Amino acid sequence: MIAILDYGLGNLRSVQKAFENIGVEAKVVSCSSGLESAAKIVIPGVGAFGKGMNNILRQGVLDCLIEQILVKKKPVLGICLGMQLLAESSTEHGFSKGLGCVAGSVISLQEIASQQLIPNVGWCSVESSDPIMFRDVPNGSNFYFVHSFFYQTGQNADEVAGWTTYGSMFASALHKDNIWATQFHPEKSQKHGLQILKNFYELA
Amino acid sequence: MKKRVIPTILLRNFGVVKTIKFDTYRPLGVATNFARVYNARGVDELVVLDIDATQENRSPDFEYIQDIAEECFMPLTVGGGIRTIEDVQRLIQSGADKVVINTEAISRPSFISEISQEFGSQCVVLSIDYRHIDSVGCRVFSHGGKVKTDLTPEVWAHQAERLGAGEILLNSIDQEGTMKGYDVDLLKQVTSKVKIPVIAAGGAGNLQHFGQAIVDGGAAAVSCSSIFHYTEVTPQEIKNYLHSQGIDVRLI
Repeated sequence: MIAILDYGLGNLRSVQKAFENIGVEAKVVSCSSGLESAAKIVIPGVGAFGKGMNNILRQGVLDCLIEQILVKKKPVLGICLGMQLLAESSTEHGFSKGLGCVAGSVISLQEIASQQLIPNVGWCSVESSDPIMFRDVPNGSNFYFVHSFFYQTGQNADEVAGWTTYGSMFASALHKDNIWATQFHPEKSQKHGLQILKNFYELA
Repeated sequence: MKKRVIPTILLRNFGVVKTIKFDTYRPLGVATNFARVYNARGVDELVVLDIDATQENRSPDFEYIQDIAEECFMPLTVGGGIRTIEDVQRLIQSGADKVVINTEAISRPSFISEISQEFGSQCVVLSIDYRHIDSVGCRVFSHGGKVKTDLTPEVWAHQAERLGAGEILLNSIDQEGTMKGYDVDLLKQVTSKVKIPVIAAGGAGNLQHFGQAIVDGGAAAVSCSSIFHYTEVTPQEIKNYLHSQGIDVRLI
């Protein structure tokens, strides 16, 4: 069973119905027991970083969530803010600590795209050579992005599965061991996005 | 950044309507059918505006929005009657990705910051409806074009950007539904004052109009509805045209 974590900020129904569209039942959960009984976890997200971490903490699922990802090694897919939360920290509205499941940190798009419109709202192409996450998705396909902050990679960027250029290049998809993440919204990116959700579902 | 082509559907009494200059309503059909067709055509985004909600002093119809959202595997932007953070929260839960605010932001500009703080600026689209008034210039209107304010579109757009708005939906009431072309001059004035994306709305009637809004007006996206209701033009044709003009769009 795929669990979609409800922490008060996600576009839960959009993610759930995208899974329904590919014939997969995904359940919205908001407590530790829901995460524990899940085979895979999706962390959706629309919102600000600090608020997201606060909600996860207040809801009492922080330790359990990290345990499922780092100890139990359950496949997890972070989407948009959900991807950013997996990082070590963010500077959105002041400094906040993240889940720390991947090495990078989250900083403003101003740092790399000062000449571009911010937020980056719209369709951007993703360059990827990851054969698992992007199986049956043509390289350079377009995905839907809505963000003002981005994930700055860790030292060797070995977690990066996809790159997008907005001013400069940034990591738009991550795949490290059991951890998947996309800065774009697969649930809103029509057929190529649905394919990525399918690839996540079919992951052994 | 790829320029977006965004169909807009206007809701009234649970149906889609076409309007001219925010008036002369004509019923067109059921919103979920429109959403299904636009989804099948792979549009870049869909804007749904409930044009009755504010005037009837009620919240958005969340269940109806959810029905529409069920058909959308593309970004869905929803507006009309949004007055509280709870309204925004419920719309997002119903499947909206962004919200369009207008009247409430005019009476209480801090509402823009509240939404931005809670959900991120990318979630807040400020709709600016304006009309040209002889010997005065352009003025912003609230309440679905019914109430004149002293704001000018440029100043209001700039202020909204500082308050945390993520996008501006700039709608010329004079051009709306006329299919005579966007108000490119005013569009240019606004886009030159803000760094956030501006969506041109009101007046698209042929392919050239879209190119003008983007190239001459500086729009990041073009929104339209009448052209899809009353001509054979499809969103993909518009994008093919823009692409042929050297404009970066998402071709599918």
